[in-house]
Amino acid sequence: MMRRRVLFMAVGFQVVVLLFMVTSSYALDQFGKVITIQTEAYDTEDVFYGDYVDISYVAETVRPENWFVTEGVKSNQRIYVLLTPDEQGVYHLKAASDREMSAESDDVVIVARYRYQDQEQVHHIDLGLDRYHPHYEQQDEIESSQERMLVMIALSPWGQKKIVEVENVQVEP
Amino acid sequence: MKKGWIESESKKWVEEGIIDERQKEAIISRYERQSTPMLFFFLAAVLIGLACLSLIAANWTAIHHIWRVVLIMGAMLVFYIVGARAFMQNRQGIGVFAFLVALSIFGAGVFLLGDMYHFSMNSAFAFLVWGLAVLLIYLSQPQVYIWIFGLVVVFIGQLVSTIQLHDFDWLLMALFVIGYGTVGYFIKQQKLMWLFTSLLAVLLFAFSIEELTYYWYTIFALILYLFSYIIKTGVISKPLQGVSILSMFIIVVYQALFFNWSWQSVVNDVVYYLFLIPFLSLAVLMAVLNRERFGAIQLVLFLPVFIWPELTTLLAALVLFAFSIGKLIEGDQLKDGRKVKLGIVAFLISVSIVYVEVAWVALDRTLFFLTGGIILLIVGLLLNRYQQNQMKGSDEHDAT
Repeated sequence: MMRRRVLFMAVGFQVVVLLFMVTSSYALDQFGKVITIQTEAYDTEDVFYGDYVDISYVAETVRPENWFVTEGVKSNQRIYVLLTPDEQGVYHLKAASDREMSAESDDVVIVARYRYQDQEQVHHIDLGLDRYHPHYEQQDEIESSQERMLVMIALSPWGQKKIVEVENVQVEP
Repeated sequence: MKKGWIESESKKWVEEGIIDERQKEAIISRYERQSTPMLFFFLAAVLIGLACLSLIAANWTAIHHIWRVVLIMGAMLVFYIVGARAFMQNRQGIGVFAFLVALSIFGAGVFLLGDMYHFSMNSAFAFLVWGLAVLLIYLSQPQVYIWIFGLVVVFIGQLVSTIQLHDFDWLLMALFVIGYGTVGYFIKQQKLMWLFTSLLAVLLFAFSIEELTYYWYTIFALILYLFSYIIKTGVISKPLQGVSILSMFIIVVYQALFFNWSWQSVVNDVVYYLFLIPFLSLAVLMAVLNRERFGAIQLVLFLPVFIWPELTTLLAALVLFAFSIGKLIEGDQLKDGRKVKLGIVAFLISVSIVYVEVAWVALDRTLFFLTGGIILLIVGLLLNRYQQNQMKGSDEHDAT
């Protein structure tokens, strides 16, 4: 009898975990904080991989002056990124560090993973948001766009993040 | 296998008149056939689980989000129901099989939903939830294979987290040691504890190289060794001591072969010695208190051979020699053939290391081959003497 109860608990636990994962994604749309960040300029030829867009963000390259890491970082290590909004409300990278940072006022902190450092001492990181599946009618729009995209991402208090919407803009370089 | 061997051997014994037919039957009945079907069900579960995974993965993008969720949960629940029914009808094999498939579906589900709903899967979260689910299922149906399955899940999760993501996950470690360790202890099977301690040692080593430096593993190995005195039950203390000594042997071999002078920072690491000295003294004290004359000898493996970087190779080789000769003598004294064999293997490894590393620089080639030959000759003579002694000993035993 006791064992039966434990079995029900164990199976129930698994169902709850899976349901939580499903619902939390929708809860994210409702309760998450939505910010807008900018992508790198891209070549339309390379954008589509099957049915999704491969996006790289401006905030994924960190110049040495924004890099606050004390010792050598390893590939895939956790990097905290502090983003701050400009007048248009688009968020830009302010600092990146391997230590946890606290966000003040409008700033947000998101977790990224370290990739590599190139010859110009620029550090490359991965925000983990590089895939977007656009709606069918939106695909043409993205394809015809030449410049950059503004990506709206939702952030949850428990560290989950996802792309809400992608918008094309002609941004002056 | 064991039973088959006993059957064929005992037939000879009956023919030679050592035992009679009735005694033979009595002996054979002591060796009950192991339930091999269980192993087949276990492997079948793994294969079928993989087949399902690859089939769904191939068509995954064509299925709508909600249907994917329904598919995962439905398949999982079906296998739980099948498993629970099988256990009620006392068909353990099928029950374990169904539960393992259901648990695989759950694990795959966590990863797939994580991917679909943009969870950042760059963390140990999935493995933590998965390992916890397996442990709960084990508690409802204490079947060894479920425990092994969960242990491996948590082990792999921790390795991925430590080596690939550079985050040693303490929650996963707690689940591994407190959850699976405690449960494994109560299963009271030495084989399982060997598995558990070996995996634990690998995790501790991964932690050492990732967060500290590799030589810190010595401290963890010492702690495992000391735990073998705290938990005296043979089920756990033997694997703890064995894994600790074996892993240290490998580390000393590594130091003898590949130690590089450029890693000299070791000597300045005072904190390391603050741990090493009291723990090592405690281990020696415990060996003396327990009247283990040879227990102290094997502790030479824990000595910090890198204290003089120039001499490390030589010191490591000496430590290996001391250890293997200690094991040889211990085996000889205790009349333990297994320990003697262990000592011989350790001795041969030590000789080979000196052969390639230490003596190559210092000695002339001819002289070296000669020394190697003489050393091997001595080993052969020792072994021969040991076997003769043993035979003589058993003769005397028969005479009395």
